[in-house]
Parts: sequence; structure tokens; C-alpha cells
Amino acid sequence: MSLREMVLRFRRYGTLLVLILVATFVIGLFPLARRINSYYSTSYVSLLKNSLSQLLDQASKQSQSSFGAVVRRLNRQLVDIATNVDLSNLLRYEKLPWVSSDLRGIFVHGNSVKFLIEQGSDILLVEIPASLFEKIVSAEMAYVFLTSSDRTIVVCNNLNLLGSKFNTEKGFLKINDLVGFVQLERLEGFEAFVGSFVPLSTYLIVLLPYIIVALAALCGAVFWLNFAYSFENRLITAVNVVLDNVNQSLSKLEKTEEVVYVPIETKISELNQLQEAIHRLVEAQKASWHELHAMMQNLQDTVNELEGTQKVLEERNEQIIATLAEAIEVKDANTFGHSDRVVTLALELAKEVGLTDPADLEAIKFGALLHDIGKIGIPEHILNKPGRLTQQEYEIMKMHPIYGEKIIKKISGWDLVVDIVRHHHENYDGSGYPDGLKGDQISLRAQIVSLVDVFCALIEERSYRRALSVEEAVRLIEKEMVGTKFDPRLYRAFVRVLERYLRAYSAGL
Amino acid sequence: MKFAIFLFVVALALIIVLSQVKLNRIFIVVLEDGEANFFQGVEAFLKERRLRYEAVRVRIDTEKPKLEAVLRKYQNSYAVGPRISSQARDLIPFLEKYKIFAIAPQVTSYFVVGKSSYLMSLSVTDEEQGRQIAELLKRFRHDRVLLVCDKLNPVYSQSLEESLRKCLSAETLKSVHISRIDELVDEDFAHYDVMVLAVDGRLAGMIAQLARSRGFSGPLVGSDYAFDRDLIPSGKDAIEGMLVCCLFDYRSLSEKGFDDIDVAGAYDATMLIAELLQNKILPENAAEYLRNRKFVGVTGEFVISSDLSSKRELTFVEVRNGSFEIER
Repeated sequence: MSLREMVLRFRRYGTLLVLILVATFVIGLFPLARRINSYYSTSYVSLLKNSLSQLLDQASKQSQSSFGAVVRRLNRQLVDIATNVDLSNLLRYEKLPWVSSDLRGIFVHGNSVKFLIEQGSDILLVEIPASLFEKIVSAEMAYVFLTSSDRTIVVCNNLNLLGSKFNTEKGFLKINDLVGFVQLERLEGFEAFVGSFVPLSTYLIVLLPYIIVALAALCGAVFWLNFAYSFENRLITAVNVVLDNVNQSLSKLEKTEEVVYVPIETKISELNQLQEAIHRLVEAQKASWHELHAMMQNLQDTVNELEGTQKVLEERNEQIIATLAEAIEVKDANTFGHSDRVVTLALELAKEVGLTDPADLEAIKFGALLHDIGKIGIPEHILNKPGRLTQQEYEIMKMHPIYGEKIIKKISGWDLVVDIVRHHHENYDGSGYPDGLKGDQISLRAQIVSLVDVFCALIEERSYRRALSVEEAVRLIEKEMVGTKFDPRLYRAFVRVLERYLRAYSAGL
Repeated sequence: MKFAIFLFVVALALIIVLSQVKLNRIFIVVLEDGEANFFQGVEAFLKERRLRYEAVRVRIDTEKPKLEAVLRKYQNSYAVGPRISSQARDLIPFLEKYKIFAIAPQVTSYFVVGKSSYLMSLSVTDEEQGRQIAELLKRFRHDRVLLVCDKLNPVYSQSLEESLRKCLSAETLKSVHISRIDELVDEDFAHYDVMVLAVDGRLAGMIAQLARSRGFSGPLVGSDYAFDRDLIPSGKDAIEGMLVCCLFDYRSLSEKGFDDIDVAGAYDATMLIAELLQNKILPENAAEYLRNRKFVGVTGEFVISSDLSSKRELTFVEVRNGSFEIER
């Protein structure tokens, strides 16, 4: 997972956490609010009911005033028996007992609640001052009330609510600039309701500790998220800057050794440490680069030196070989310059037949130069005899390839040269010496040197004959030697070489 | 960490401010005792004029600390009420303390009207009412007048009685101050030629019934106090022919469809408050602004006097066949 994906996931979880917190706090409010309602309903409302019950009991039993309440005996036509005042326009009832919805006092000053209770053939009017309940049910946090059958408040511990009317038995509503939760229940024995009104301010006061704790938790979560977000922003920015810096330095490092990695100061110590480590790595890399460079330079110097030495040695070898060849020519008066010519033509013929391997060409070069080295072992009188050799002399003469092999075979890596020296007198038909090899048994290198050797010998003057022209030599070879001594294919290649030479010669090159 | 603390403090402060702030609403305080229907008159005017002021009831018959706590919430505002002079006397210190300018439609006692620049009345004072009732009594040419006053409204009772006594001889006028009807059970009503009832309408009706049942046959006269919606239901036949003083122009009230004098008084009081609010007059400058200004409302035409009472024509109405009719 990339850093960005991790950050996104972190943000999602953070937002989810805050939402869960908010949801938890909101959901947690409901049972608490229900508990508050329940508390006021069961305590204050029962207090009001008890007070009413006591007042009515007392009044109906004693039939006299107490606590500022007035008890009057009325007849069924609602005429006050004591004063004979007809109250039928001020009071009414549908059935007894009854709670009047009229608030104005009749026998009591100010507002009052009026209960009509059946007592024998008469009706008992119990009129209680409304202000009495403010004292009896003293509650600041909630208001309790009694309503008449039409749900008009006739008793309340908050006089400001007197006369207000409810349209509902349960729910939030606004009464006289007060918003709160109202809950009504039927008053047993009366066509009336008792209920409670809990203002919103009460919820706020009771729930304040909860709200403070919830807010603190929420603020904590928001702060934590904010801190984490700012940290991740710093982290991403710093990481990006550092990565760019590292990438730039590394790409430079691939091209040149002149790279200086400068760590960028960030507010994240781990990144700074990482950069320091990268800085040390780059410096170490540069140091090993320099060391390697120096080693390579030394190696190159050594190689150059070796190459120089090898060149000198090769030149010296060639000089030694040339000296050897010259020694043969000095011994064999008939062969002066022979070896050089054989070398030149043999190399041309090798190229003509497609030999390109440097080892083959080198073997042909030295083989051509030293093919007659064995003549050193042949007595000079045989070697330089002007007339035909006797059979015995010829047998001695035929030993020179073997002597030649013996001379050079101790030179390591000269196996191919040895092969040419030993077999340059082998014939295509197997009539040659010393091993009587024929056809493909004779290496192509040995055949090349053999053909060129014969050709060069023919065009050179000998004590026992004159030098043939090129054409005479070619004709002689074609007539007497192709197919017996030499491979016809090799011969045709040699002819092409000679023709090329002759054309170049004619052109003055 | 600082950010978290800042966030927490801001949230807490916001909760406290929101719980206290009134969101710049303009309130009209209705000072009620549960007897007068001022609130209906205030709401009627606001609704008719489509004004966005908020009417709020404040019960003044509650304990003083509670009342003060409520009034503190509505300081620097305008109020309609109270209903009677004795309540006005008790309220004046709070009105002055919290700079609440109250317009009490029917407070008439000169013991309270003109005593504070935070209380005015839409009515004439008891001096004028007493004079006119006295003139009416003289018209009847009776020698024995029983004045029944409300013991629980002593300020009004005192000023009205004083005003009557200025015009009537001491021998002619006998006064009783009662708080409930039982206190008149032993009274010899037959002894009197005329009864003047300076109690609220409900009690006045009951007294009239009691008096008639005890042999009183003379004319009944009611002060403005008795002129309320409960007089006729309470008095029934006993008040037939009774003359009652109406502080407002009864013809105007009838024409405008106001059968409750408290509602009409509150309506005109709200009219004045609306003018004050629209002219951005602070409660402390309201008295100065209103003095000598003339208004025409549902209660009739009136001019605010320098003592913050109102100069206007009184009306006497007669109860005929269970309703009020203009006597003169």
C-alpha cells in the first residue's frame, strides 16, 4: 500500500471516528432526556397530585377554609347558600366532580382553581388560590400543572403558564416564550389532566456535564485528527522533497562521479537520519568509484605495458624466425629470398581459399618462412650439389621435414607450424614424404605452403637448371603435378592469385 | 494542544451565550395578574400590523424575587400593564430599576400616575373620575351613598374615595373596604339610597345580587374598576339599570368591535409602543417623547398629559337588558 493510500485510509477512519462520536453523543442524549422527563413526571407530578388530594380531602371533610382556600356550599343551581348569590353565570359543570376552567377568583382574590365536588344534595365549591401551588410545588427545573377538561392550565407552579392551552398530550411546544417538553396524564376521578412541562434550559443544565464531556471528547478527537492530518501533510511533503533530492542525486551519480548529495533539513528526525545515511552511502559509493577508477587505470597501464612487451617479444620472435630462415638460405645457396616469396604467396592463397582464422594465417606465415628449417641438418655438399642427387643423398635430403619438426616442435603453441613443416612435401595422391599422407589427410595449410614452395622453386634459378617463367612454371605444375601432387581446386585458386598478381604487376602497382 | 483548548473554550462559550442571548428579538412585556386580558389586545395589534415584536406574559402576582428575576431578563423594554393601581405602585421600583416603560391602560390613581417616568396610563386620573361620579350622584339627589371599595387595591380605593369626598359631604358618603363578599353579609343595604361599587366587575355583580336580595332598591353606580366583562354575568338581573363609568370612548369601542375593555386598552398601549419602537425611542426617553402627543386609537381620542395620564372624555354606560348602553 502506498503512502498516499494509507493517508486516505487514515482520513476515512478519522472522519468515521468523529461521526461515530457525534452519533454516540446524540444517541446518548435520548435516554438521558427520557430519564429527566421520567424524573419530573414521577416526582413533581406526584407531589402535585398529593397536594391536590390533601387539600380536597381536608376541604371536603372540614367544609372550611384552610391554606387560603375557600370552601363554599352551593345548591344544584350553583347558588351560594351563605350569600344567596347566583353563580350560575360564573361556574358550570357537566358532571361531578369537576374542575372549572375559569381562572378568575370568585371568593378568592386573583386567580384560583375551582373544584366542584358532590356532597349530599349540595355541591361543594373548593376554591384554591393559584399562587398557593407556587409555594407548595416549588420547582425551578420543571413546571407541573393541572388542566381542566379542555386542557386549559388552571394550576401551575409557574403562574406565567396559567390559562395556556395544550393541543397535545405529549411533545415539544412553546408556551409564553418557553420551549419545552410537555407530558399530560389523566387525573384519576376528574375530567382533568395533570402534567409536567420541562423547559429546554432544564435539559441544558442537567445535561451540561454530559455535553461538556462529549464536547471535550469531540474536541480531543478533532484535535488529534487535525494534528495527525498536519503531521501527515508534513510527512508527505518532506518525503516527496527528500525522494526528489535522492532521485536527482542518483540520476547524476549514474552519469558522473561529481555528485554532492546535500541533505534537506526537515522537521522529521527519522527522515533527516535517513538522508544522513544516504549521504554517507553516496560518499562511500564515490570513494569506491574513485578507488575502482584508480585500479582500472593501473590495470590499463599494466595491460599497455604488457602489450608493449608482447609486441617487442613478437618482433623479436619474428626477427629470430627471420634469422632462422635467413640461416637456411645462407646454408642453401639456391634458396635465397625463397622463404619471403613463399610467405607472401601462401598468405594470399590462404585468403583466396577462405582461411581467415588468425591462428591459421599465423601458422601459414611461420610455416612458409621455416618450412625448410630442417635443411640445417642436411650436409652442405648434398644441399648444394650441382647435379642430380643419388638415391642415398636423396634419402638424406628427404629427412629435412623431420629435422625441421624436431627443431621447432618444442616451441609451445606452434603445433600448426610444426604440421606445415613436417608435411610440406606430402603429395595429394599419397606419394610424398615423410608420412605418405594423401588428400584431406594433408592439412590445407601444408598443401598451400607445398604448392607455393614448388611454384617459387620453379621460378627460381638452380645450379642444375635455369629459372622458369611464371607461365612455364604454371604449365609445368598443371601438366605434371595437379591431381598427383596438388589438389586441383587448390591449384585453380592459386592460378587466380597469380592472375591477380600479374594484373597488378602489369598495372605498375 | 492550544488549538484543542481554544476549540473547547469556544464551544463552551457558544453554549453559554446561546442559552442567554435573546437573538436580538424585541419583546413587549405583558404584565398580567390573570384577571385582565391584555395579551389578547397586544397580539391583536401585532397581528393586524404584521409586526415582528414578541409578546411575552409576565405574571406580576408572583413572589417579588421571582418577578424581579423575570423583569431583569426584559430590561430596557416596553410593557403593557399592570391592571390596577396597587400593582402599579409595587411595580414602579422594578420598572425604574430595569428601565421598563409600562403603559397601564386603566391605572387611574394619582398616587401612582405621574410618580414615575416609567409608567403612564391611557386613562384620566381618579380625580376626574371621582368628580364626574360625584356629579352623577348629585343628579340622583340622594343623601346616603355607600361606597364599596376593594381592600386589596388600596391605592385606587384611597384615591377614588378622596376624589369623591372632595365633592360629597362626609355625612352623605359611607365607605366600606372589603376583600370578599362575606364581609358585606351583615351590611344593612336598605339603609342606602345609592351604592357606588369600586370593586372589580365580578365582585361588583355579586355585591349587587347580595344587596338586592337584602332589600337594596336604589341605583347602582360602578367605577371604572367594575366595568369589565364579568360584571353582567356575575350581577345578572341585579345590575339592571346600573351606571358604570367607562374610562374609554365606549362608542368607539363598540364601533371597532371591542367588547373587552382590557383588550382594547392593551391594543392602544401596543400602538403607542410600536410608535416608540419604530422611532427608536429608548424606554428612558419614552415619557418625554409621549408628553402632549395626541393619539387616536380604538379607545378613542386622547392626549398624553404631562403627568403621563391621558386627557379624554369619560363615558357612562347603563346596563340595559344584560348589555351596556351609552348613558351619556
